Amino acid sequence: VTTRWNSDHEEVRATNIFMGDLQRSIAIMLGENGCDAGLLKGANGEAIDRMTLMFSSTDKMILRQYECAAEPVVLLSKFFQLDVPTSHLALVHIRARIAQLREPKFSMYADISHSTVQILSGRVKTETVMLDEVIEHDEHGVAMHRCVETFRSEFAEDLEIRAGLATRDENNPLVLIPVEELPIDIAISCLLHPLVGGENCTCCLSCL
Amino acid sequence: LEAVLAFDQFSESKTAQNIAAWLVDGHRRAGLKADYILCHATDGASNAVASSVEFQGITSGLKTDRDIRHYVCMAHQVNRSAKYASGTGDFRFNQNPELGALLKKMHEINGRIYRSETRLKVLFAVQKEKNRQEESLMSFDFCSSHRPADSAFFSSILYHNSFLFFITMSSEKLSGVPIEG
Repeated sequence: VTTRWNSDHEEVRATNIFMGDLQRSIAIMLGENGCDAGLLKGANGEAIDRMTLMFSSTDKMILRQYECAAEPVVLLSKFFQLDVPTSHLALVHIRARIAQLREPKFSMYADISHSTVQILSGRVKTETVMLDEVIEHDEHGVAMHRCVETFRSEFAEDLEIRAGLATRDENNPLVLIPVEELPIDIAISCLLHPLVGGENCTCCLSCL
Repeated sequence: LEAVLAFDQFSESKTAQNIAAWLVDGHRRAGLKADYILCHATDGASNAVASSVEFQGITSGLKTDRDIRHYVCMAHQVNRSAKYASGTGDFRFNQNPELGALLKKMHEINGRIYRSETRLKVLFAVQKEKNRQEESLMSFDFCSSHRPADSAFFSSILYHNSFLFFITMSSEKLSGVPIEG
């Protein structure tokens, strides 16, 4: 974990694991004799909404969904921080993760943070989060929150553009146009690689 | 083969010209000829990208038959895309304000707890009450150990088959910050 976004995601994961303990602790702190009771009053004595200081049920659901929705991004980020990511592998990874993010559903950990089981080892993905159009056909799914849906689609689009795999339509910026030719940085080393290229070429970048 | 060529405190403003001059100086100190450089990789920041162009300009008289290519580090690109999509970056237009606001709220709540011994004691008491294992208690330490510097500038140069790394950070970030990546 080396980038700021990765550590933010790790914080989301830890928050989900400890959500039950956190909420109970915050409730004690905000209680009548708690150390944070004063936070419920503003500078002019006005009442502060308690829910701004703790997690609502919607917050909890979004954080759980976001943790699992972002897992392909974590894998991609970790791949690019390995010692030897090569262009052809990078291309495969980028496309595989983008395809994962464009799936209409993903699995999510059940919330066991309020139970007394050993929370680190007890999490299992037993719930399925789905887009609205899919959930109509499957009553057992959980509806994907719009901000999680936005995260998945925006990440996929933005990365495709940054990696040079697509461009935005000049007339309609909401439409992505796949590039006809791969960027030369990716194409050359992909084509020269003996596994994915042709012509029995075993060249490396140093002979260019 | 990987080698760190230079690791310097960067006290001047990080303009493309200053970074390029530092890169040239780094090569000179290491005794490397620009002629042998195949490509140059930086983060996606405009000053970093422009420094590569500047570097080429400065060294163009020394080179013979090859242009130095420039690549943007994909780990940085993934990081930027993720921040953009989650509404947590410093972009002109916030693409996901709802998620961004929630992540900010989460960070504030967690920060309030992990920065205060009194509040941590309350949390640990609750966890003890629930018979959490020792390892479960420890793992809430994530906040104090995972705050990497976001202003680090990474530059790697492909020198035939070898990667040579330059790293620079703002002078104010140098003390006590783990250098990762």
